[in-house]
Amino acid sequence: MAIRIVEQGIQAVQNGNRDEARRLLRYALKEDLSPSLRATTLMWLAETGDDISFKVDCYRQAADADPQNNDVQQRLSYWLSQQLPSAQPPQGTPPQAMPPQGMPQAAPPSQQNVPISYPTQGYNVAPPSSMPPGALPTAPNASQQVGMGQNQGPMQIQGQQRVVGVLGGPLGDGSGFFVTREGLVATTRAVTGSQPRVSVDLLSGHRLVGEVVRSFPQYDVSLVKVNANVEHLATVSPSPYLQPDAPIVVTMHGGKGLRSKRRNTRSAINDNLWFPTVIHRNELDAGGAPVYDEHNLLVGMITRNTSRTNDYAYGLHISQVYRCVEQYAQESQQVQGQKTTTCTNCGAISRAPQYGAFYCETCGSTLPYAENVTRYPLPNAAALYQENMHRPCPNCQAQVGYYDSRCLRCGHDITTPAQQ
Amino acid sequence: MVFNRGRGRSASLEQHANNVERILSSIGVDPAQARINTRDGYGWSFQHGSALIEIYIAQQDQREYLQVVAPIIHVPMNNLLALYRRLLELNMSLTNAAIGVYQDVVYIFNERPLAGLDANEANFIISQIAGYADDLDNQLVNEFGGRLYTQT
Repeated sequence: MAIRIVEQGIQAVQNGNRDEARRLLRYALKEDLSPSLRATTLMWLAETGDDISFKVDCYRQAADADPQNNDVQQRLSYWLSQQLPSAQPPQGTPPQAMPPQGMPQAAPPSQQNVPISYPTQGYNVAPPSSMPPGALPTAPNASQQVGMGQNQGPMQIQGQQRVVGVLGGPLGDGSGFFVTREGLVATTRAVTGSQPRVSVDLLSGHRLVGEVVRSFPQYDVSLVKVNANVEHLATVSPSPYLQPDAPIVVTMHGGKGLRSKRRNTRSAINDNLWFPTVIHRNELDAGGAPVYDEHNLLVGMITRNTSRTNDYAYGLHISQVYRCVEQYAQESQQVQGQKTTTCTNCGAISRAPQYGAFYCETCGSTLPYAENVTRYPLPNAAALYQENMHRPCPNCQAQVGYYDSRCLRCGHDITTPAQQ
Repeated sequence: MVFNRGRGRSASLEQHANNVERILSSIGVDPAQARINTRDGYGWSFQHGSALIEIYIAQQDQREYLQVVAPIIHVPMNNLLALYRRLLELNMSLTNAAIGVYQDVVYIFNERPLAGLDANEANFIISQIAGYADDLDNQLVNEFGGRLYTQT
């Protein structure tokens, strides 16, 4: 019954009868709806009014009902930014989470302002957005990546942003800082988790959508791209390591700062990578805040990693953060012009979309765009997974490779004769 | 331990084998027909639904174990990284069962000590393993290729 009312409400929106649509959708919301249907209904309800506060309210409720719905989050971010005094003028096309073009069995990409056929697409389909096209800021370099919106003019950020907020991750609000003038933000992998998108809060109060473009879980680094150009970056310390007992300042988003020092430890640590501090983990936000030295030079990024024996947090040296940035830049260069996506599980850039494949070639997990499509064996993807470049196993003839002299498929030890 | 069976037949093991045969009879399986030759232990193989179930009893550290094993698919020639990852993910989601690969076959199995095992519990274990095997075999073959174990 409720679904029928929602359907009628959507029909009314599509017919331009917004008063009737609002009445029907509000009536449906009084019923016991599933979280996703409630979110969808609220998204359609937002289309029945022009008032920004009304839309924000609808999207907030939709986000509460279905926190996993990225479309809701994006629209909410956009309309929140519109409430700010100097929001970006809208241009271009808004990003939509859509499967890559040409992906086999993938659902067809939803199109702006094209009426949605409910019987075939189901009720959990978002309305065509009333956001002006291109309103959401997205990563300029990311336009070549799968599921990202088209490029538009980046926001110009004047003055130095010592720290930005990184919101929407699994551990709560974290911090980050710009590492390139093109709007690349460094934070910790713990802050972004496996989220493909997060919100990035600037000191000015602007909130931008950030795409997690690369993660390095081994170093607890995530790189987030926002559509912005930064005038000034923090000055980086030229020193490759931090002296024991050196004073440091951790600047967290929200104005909280911590004066501390590098902990003097006898434990063997890699000075070029991690440095111990005397900051307790519970003094920190979710992590990712920049660490400055006494000369106000950027020396690292604070993380929530600790040793096994105490609760003192470790920082990651800024040189390692920049090594990750350089690696990302090199990888981006290598895959330029190819369809790629970022694996949310391992954080690597995957070329699977180029092959029409479904799995990350680094960790083997199902890529987000392939989660809800019919997957099947793709023989031509063997090159992507490097399964055609090894000598055939004498036992099973598979060319998938070997580990410790054993075939990865059948376990045959190639140092022993094959069974007849 | 599943694939490390065969440490010699003992009187105690024989007694447990008789118990298992009684349990199999009580769940409608003819133990004489199901009996299979193993080098050093006891084994039975039978069809349960569409799943092939193998049961073994084995001894380790003076304790006897029941092993219920369902071979499901032959590992495909490609796509191993994604398949192995999926198997590990599935392994986390199964209750009272585990997934393993032995040579080039994917198995679902359960092991438990024979002491205290009754027909109800044995039936539950067998049905559960068979149910998982039924659910997963076609699903895995459709997604990753390879061949059903029961397919020639």
